[in-house]
This record gives sequence, structure tokens and C-alpha cells, in this order.
Amino acid sequence: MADYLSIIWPDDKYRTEWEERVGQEFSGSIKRDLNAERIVNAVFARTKKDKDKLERLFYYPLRDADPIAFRLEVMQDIRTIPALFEILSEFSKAIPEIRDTYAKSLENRNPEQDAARVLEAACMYISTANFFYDSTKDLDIKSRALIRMRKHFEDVVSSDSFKEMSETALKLQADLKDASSFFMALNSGPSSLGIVRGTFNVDDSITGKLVKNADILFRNVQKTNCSIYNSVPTTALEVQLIDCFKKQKPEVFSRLADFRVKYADYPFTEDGITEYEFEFYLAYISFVRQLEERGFVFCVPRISQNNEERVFGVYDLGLAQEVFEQGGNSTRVVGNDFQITQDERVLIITGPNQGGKTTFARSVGLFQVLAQVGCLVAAREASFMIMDKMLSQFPERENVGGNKGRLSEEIIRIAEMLRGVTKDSFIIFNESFASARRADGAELGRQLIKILLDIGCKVLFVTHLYELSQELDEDPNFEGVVSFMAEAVETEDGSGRRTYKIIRKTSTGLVFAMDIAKRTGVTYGQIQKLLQERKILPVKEASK
Amino acid sequence: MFEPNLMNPAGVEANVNPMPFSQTLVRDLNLDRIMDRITRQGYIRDTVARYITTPALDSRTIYYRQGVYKDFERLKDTFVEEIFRTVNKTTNIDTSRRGVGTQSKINVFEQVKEAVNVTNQYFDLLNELCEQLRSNRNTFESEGLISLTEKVIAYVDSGEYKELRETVNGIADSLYNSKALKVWVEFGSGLKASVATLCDISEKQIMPEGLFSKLFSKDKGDANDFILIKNIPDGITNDLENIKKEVLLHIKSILAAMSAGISRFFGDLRTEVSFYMGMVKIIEKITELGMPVCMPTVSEDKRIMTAKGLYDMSMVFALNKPKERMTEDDVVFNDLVMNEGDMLIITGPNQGGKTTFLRAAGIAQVLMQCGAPVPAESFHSSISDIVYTHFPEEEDKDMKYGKLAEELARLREAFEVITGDSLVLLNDSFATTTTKEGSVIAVDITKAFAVLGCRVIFVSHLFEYASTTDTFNANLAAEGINGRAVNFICDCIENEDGSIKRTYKIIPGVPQQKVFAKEFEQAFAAARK
Repeated sequence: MADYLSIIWPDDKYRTEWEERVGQEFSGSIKRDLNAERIVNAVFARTKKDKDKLERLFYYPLRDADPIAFRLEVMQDIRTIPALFEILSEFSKAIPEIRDTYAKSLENRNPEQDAARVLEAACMYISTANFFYDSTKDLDIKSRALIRMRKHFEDVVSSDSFKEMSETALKLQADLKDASSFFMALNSGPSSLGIVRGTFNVDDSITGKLVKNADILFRNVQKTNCSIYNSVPTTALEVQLIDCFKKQKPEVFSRLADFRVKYADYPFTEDGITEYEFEFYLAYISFVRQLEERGFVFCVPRISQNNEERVFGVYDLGLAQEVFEQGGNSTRVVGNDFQITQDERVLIITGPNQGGKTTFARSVGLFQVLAQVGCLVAAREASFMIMDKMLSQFPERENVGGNKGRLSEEIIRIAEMLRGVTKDSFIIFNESFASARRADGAELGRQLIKILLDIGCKVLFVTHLYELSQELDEDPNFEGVVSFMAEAVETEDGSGRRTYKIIRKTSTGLVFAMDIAKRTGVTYGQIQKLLQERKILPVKEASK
Repeated sequence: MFEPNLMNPAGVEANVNPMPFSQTLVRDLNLDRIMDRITRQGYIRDTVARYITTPALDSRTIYYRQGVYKDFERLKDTFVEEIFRTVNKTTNIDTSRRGVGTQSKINVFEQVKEAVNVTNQYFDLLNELCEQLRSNRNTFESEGLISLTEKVIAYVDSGEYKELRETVNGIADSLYNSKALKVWVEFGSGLKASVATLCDISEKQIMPEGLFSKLFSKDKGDANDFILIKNIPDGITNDLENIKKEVLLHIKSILAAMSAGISRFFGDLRTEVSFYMGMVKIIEKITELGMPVCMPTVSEDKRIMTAKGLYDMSMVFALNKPKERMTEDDVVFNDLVMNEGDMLIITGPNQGGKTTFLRAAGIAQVLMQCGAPVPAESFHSSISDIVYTHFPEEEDKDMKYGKLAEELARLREAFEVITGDSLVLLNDSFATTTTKEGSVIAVDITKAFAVLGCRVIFVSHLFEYASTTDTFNANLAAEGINGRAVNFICDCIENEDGSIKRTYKIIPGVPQQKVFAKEFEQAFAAARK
């Protein structure tokens, strides 16, 4: 039986289960509310094939520790072994090339051309298999996926059949090249065609002379030959010429025919090795690297063993991407810490408008999604719990004006959503009941939170109703509720200025001008740090 | 590659990156006013503008350009006019070059002929340039013009160039009577015809019995070595025509690349000639007004700047008066000594000549790095990778940001790129907050500049800051930072009626607050508005 070689599924049963789930669940909240769409679009901006398939991996996160860990191991390997990224991308480029080349051998054009495709696919396969094994054999790979793949190719390249094929194929390839190169005499008036064997010397050709003598004038390298490739599978001219080659070099063509007979059924393309699985890692790591160049940090999250989630310096990846696109760097995005434990399950976030509440909610939600997809996360350090569902309740954008039915619609939607929720689910509420009168909204919020506490699920409750946090935080009936605030500091003119930090307590203010200096990043310490980053100043041991 | 190299000596990598913030630099230093003196052609002005903001970053290049500049100044009415006429001819040939093959109905043979024709026009122009340089070669003193001359003569007189012209002409001749094309063909992937090389265009048919077969088969043993198909099947005629067309188009594309190469050479030469012509014009205008200029010298190892009789060229052009009619209110000549590690902190009343002083220093630095003379009696300075100007922005572009935040954000961007080699010109920075707070920020910022070690001239109203430079310097020394703030003031005398008489000279001195307190207040009121 063929080896199972997927690098995103440890076992085929996970894939089957996941595929059944895809399409049944609505992924809108992840895609739209959390702005995962922006991330996914950025990650796969340069991907050409299988984009839908790849996107689905993100919109339908995993629910089992095994496959999540399986993917995180690969991510970790790619991060810790610098050479691996190039190796995997080169390898994954070869996969479709071999497959396409082999597929062309089945097009039934003429026997020689079909056989030449088999030979070509064989040569590509030989070099790809050797390449993968040779370049990974000394690497300290830890992931199950890549170890499995390496073992497979080790078995392949050390087999006798592979060795024999390699020897035959490479010799034949060289001889065939020689047999199919010739001088063509194009006579006119009257027309005739000559096929002439001979020794070619480029310096005797017109183009050779031009290219050589005008070398100093060219800005780009000029080729001495031109391409005459056509996209038709075969042409009458080619058939005619191949006939002539066969007359000229019969022995080579008989070997070619033998090769085809012998190797047409060789497994040049393994089941389970698909370039899109490589693209999942390569595209995501490229995306991460781009952001890292601008100072954004990422980490491989750990799966929590004690039913607690602790995250440090998490930031909104969607916002980071936006800043990146505008040419900015990480100084413009604020990171936050948070934790979910048995004692702290419902996090109420209050604070001024534009203070970073929604951004925080998104960053936490995206963190959870990416961790469960098996990706690096936008945080300094993180451990996470696996949630069975990730849901969100954001205000409907099209209804911003607010109308009469809006509140009742919202209540119905929330009620429906709660039906499938378990203690292992994760929900983000963003400004729920904003259309209600304040007192009503607070009361609805109280009721909802009570229900959520009873279910035992994990909740981020973003609201402008600060009275909720004031009341519930201390209420023994609401154990598990903890309050956070988007920080604001007093300014000279009395208006609150935002730091976009989510904290447990309000902090004290700073002097106005120095505060602006700090915000714009021009205090001595900040500039010193910048100059250290630019490697102009040495980094002192004390500063971390 | 064939390059004129009048701006950069061969082998020295040319700096092609405009200085960061160069648009701001042009505005703050009034460089437009200087470049507006070039009235002859927009192209020349654009070229000068480009080189002003893309400075040379090594002394070798600066001195190299100074040499070429001197030749251009001396030969401006003779050789320069001649070569300018020649290089301008490229634009016409360029037009024909772009037209080759654009008429789709013309067959490929005709297209190749057109390409040959255009290529020959470029060759002729190259020969013309060569003769011009040859006949003027004894008048050149600069390395740049001498090596250009040698290079062009060497190529035009070379065997390669002769063979090249023969090959090109040979193509044109044989195309008229061609009876056969000899093409080397290689099959590639999937045993399909993939590449072809045109070996020969022959006026005779290629047949097995003839001379041709002897050329190809050494042993003549195997009849299969030359297979001749006399009656070409209909099915393959098109494919053969296609190969013929491809190889001829390939010749055309090589000719086009050749033409493009020569065209680019002339284009570069035109740009470089234009730069020197523009610079010569600017200096001519300033000397016509009776103002002195000098060739600056480069300080190789120390980050310093010294000048005698430095003045603001943009101001002189704005006034446009001959020197003898100028008053001391019009233009002031300053001497300047900035030692390694010095940051000049200039305080003094408004209209005291502070900004003009900043400009004068900045303009001289920029012109020096173009390779041009500078407006001073003498000027000696190290090379700046960036001349950074931080002047007050006229308007608050971003309402939500606030003025202080806006100017600090600009500085932050600057700190992302400036280095110890940069020249930083701060004009009234941090004046958008209280003097006390502004001074606190100024301490931080100038300390950071001191750490970088770059040259700084800081025109400021911040008395609290400027008057405590002793403490500031002591703190730097305590931290082991090599740098110090040096106080300069505008030389002013208070008249008996309390009004101020200015000399507009910038001289070393202790900041004086009391005397001009009133003016300070007004300045803040204006700045904060």
C-alpha cells in the first residue's frame, strides 16, 4: 500500500471528518466579523491554484488537537530550519510539473513524442526525489509530516528499481538531445528542405557574430537563438523531422521505445503529495515574514494542557496588514495580553469609542482561529484551548441606522446562535443591544451574560455599557466575569486620549507634550531603540 | 556596458537613489529659485534638479565632476555647443527606431531592412561623436572627458566594431537575393522543435552535392547525414514559413537591442551634458551679479564644515541685484566653523538671518555634492548621505494629528534613515508647544543626534534649551557620548529706543533672553496659531 503522505492531515480520517463539516457550518463570522478575509486574501495574494481549497482551511478551523499539533510542528520546523522554506517551495513547484509532463505522454500524438514525455517526467522525478532526500537528510526535522515524507523518499531513492531507472534515463536523455539537433536548410525558388547532421559553432552564425561584436552595446543579455515553440501538441513538420532522425539515429529511438514500455506505469506522482498543501505553509510563512520585517511578532502557539488560555502581546492581524499595506510598521499597532481561565470566562470590555475595543475583540478572535488552523499567531507568546465553535455577533453593517425591528431581530439571532453552543465554545459579542434604550440594553446584557455563564462557554463581551462591568464584576451571582477597559488618559484640553491598550485598571496620565513625543516615537529611549534596530547602536545587555 | 560616465568615474558605483525627503529639501532650501536661472530648456533644468537631489556620496566622484565642470565652463561656447547638437540628434533617430515594424503589413524581410537602416543611423552618429571628440581631445583637461574620448575612439576603431558593421551591412545585401537560410534547430521538451539559430543567409541554394555537404559531413560516409526533401508536403509549409519568420524577427530584435543600447548611451550623454550646461548657467548668473563662488574641498575623515563668506544663493537670485547695489540688509556673508561632534544651536530674534544661514549651509552642501562650485569664498565639508531639513510646515495637513504630533512624526521618519554622515538642519523645531516642554523634547532629540554623530544646525527659540547647553554637554560627556551643543547667536544690538539693530551675522555667543523677550513672545504666538 502506498504511504500516506499528506502534510496537513496526520491521518485521512481527520480530512474526511473535516470535509463533511465544511459546507454545513456558516463561516461568515470568521470571514467577515473577524476580518479573516483580509488576512486570507493577503496570504494567498500570489497563489494561483486551489485558492478556494486553501481559503476553506482558514474558514473552517480544526477541532482536534492531533491535526492542529501536526500542522504547528511543520510551521515550527520551517521557522527553526532556515533552509527548509526554499527546499519545500522548490519541491512543491516540481510536483505539478512532473504531473503535467506525464499527463502529456498520454495525449497520443506520436509514439516518439509520447515516449519523450515519459522520459522527461522520469528525469524530473529522479532529480526531485534526489533533491528532497539529499537536502533534508541532514536537517533536524521534528515534524511528523516532514519526517514521514523524508522516510518515503529515502525508501524511494535507495531502491534498486529507482537506481536502474536513473542510469538508463539520464543516458538516453543526452543521446536523444543529440539525435534531435540538426542544420535545417530552407531553400527557396524552388523550395526544398534539407536535414543536415553537423557540428554547430555559434560564432559562425549571423546572430552569434552580432551578439558577440555588439556585446558592449547591449543592456540585456541577448540570446543567439530564438524560440520556435508552438503550443500544438504535435505538428506535421515535427513528425516529418522525427522520421528523419529515426533514419539517422535508429538505435537511440529504439531505446526510447523500450524506456516507455518499461516505465510508463512508474508512480511518478504520489497520491497525497499535492502542491496546495505546501502552499498552505509557504504562503502563510511568506506573509508572516513580510510583517516580521516591519517589526510585527509571531509565535507558534502551544496547545494548553490545563484548560487555561494565556496570551501575551496579541494584536489585530487585519490591522497589521492594513498598516503594512500603507508602508507602516509595528509601532502603529498595539499589543494586549489576556487570559481565559475557569475563574475568568466572560471578559467584558468597556471603554471610550475608538479606543480599541473592537480591534481587541478581533485580535482575540483571529488568534483563536489561526491557532486552530495550525498557524503562527500574532502574539509574543501564547497558549490556547481548543474550542469546538467560534462564533461572533457583530452589529449588522447594513442596519447601522437602526430601525424598529432591529433589536428583536438581534435577540432572535443570538438565541439561535446559542442553541449549538457548549462549554467549549468561544463567542465574541460586539456592541450587542446598541439599538436598545440604555437601561434595556443593560438588562438584556445582564440576562445574556447569566445564560452564557450557565453554559460555561468562553466569551468576549465588548460593550459601551460600562455599568455592566461595574455591577457584574463584584456580583457573586456572576462569578467568572472579569472587566477590562480600553485605556484613555486625560489630556491638557480635557479630552480623553486613547492608548489602544486594554487594561484592568485606568492608568495615570502623562505630560501632554512628552506624551505626544512618546506616541510619535521620538523619546530618547525610543530613538535609541530604533537606532539599535537599525544596527547603528549596539544593543545593551540590560535592554531586552 | 557602454556608458559615457561624465558624472561618475568608471568603476565607482553611482548613487542613483534620491535623498530621502528630497522634495522637502528642495522646498526648504528654495532650490527652485536657483534652478529657475536655467532658462534654456526644461530638460536641462529637470536634469539639474535630478542630480541635486541625488548627490554624489564619495569625494572621488565629486572631484571628478568638478574637473568635467571646469572643462564645460571653459569650452561652453565651442565644444559644448557642438556636442550638445550631436547628442540632440538621437531624439530623431529614436523616433524612427520606435517606428520599426509598427506597420503590420510590412513583411518580415522589410522589417529587418528597416532595422538595419536605423541601426546604421546610430552607428553613423557614433562615428560623428567620435570625430568630434577626436578633434577636441587636446582641449580636454578633465579625467571624465578624456576617458570618454578614449573609450569612444577605442570602440569605433576596433575590429569588433568593423566586423559588426560588416555583418549588419551583409544582412542587408544578402536579404535582397536570398535563396536559402541555414538554421540550426534543436528539439526540446517532449521532442518538439524548440529553438533555432540563424547561421547564414545564402544567395545560393544549399544542396547535398555542393560545397555545403563537405562543410558538414567530415567523413561523407553516411547518406543519411543529409536528407533532402524536394517536394515539401503542403502540411508543413506553414511551419517552415514560421521558422523562417521567427529567425528573421530574431535578427530584427538583436538589431533593436543594439540600437537601444546606442540610443541609451546617447540619452545618458545628453543628460550628463545637460547637467553641466545647467550648472555652468547657474554659476554664470551668480558671478554676473558680482558674487563669489569657489570649488569646495571634501573632508574625508572628519564630519566637519568650515566656510568663509558663505551666503544664501537663493536670496541673491530673489533680489537679483548686482553686488555693488546691495546693502548689508540684503545679503550677509557668514563664516562658519563646525568641528567634529558640534551641533550648532542658533538663537536670536526673528528676521535675524537665522533661516538664511541654514539655507546657505544647506545649499552649499548640496551643490558641493553635485560637483559644482558653491556660493562662498571657501567651503570645506564632509559628505552627507542625507541633507535633512526640518522646517515648520505651512499648514496642518492632518487635522486629527495636531501640529506638535505632525512635526514629531516627521522627525521619527527621519530617524529611520539618517545616519552619522547626515547633515541635519532644524528650523524652529518644537515651537508648537510651550518653550518648557519644547525644550524637554529638544534635549531628547539632540541627544539622539549626538549619539548618531551627525552634523546639526538647530535654529531655535527655545531659550530654556539653548541656555542650558553646559549641563546638556556635561550629561553627554558623562554618558560617554561624543558630541556637544555649541551656542551661536544672531549678532544684534539693542538701540536706545528698545528696537533692535541686526547685523545678520551668525556668531558664537551666549543666548540672551531678556533683551528680545517681546519678539520671542510674538514668534510663539505666530508659531502656535
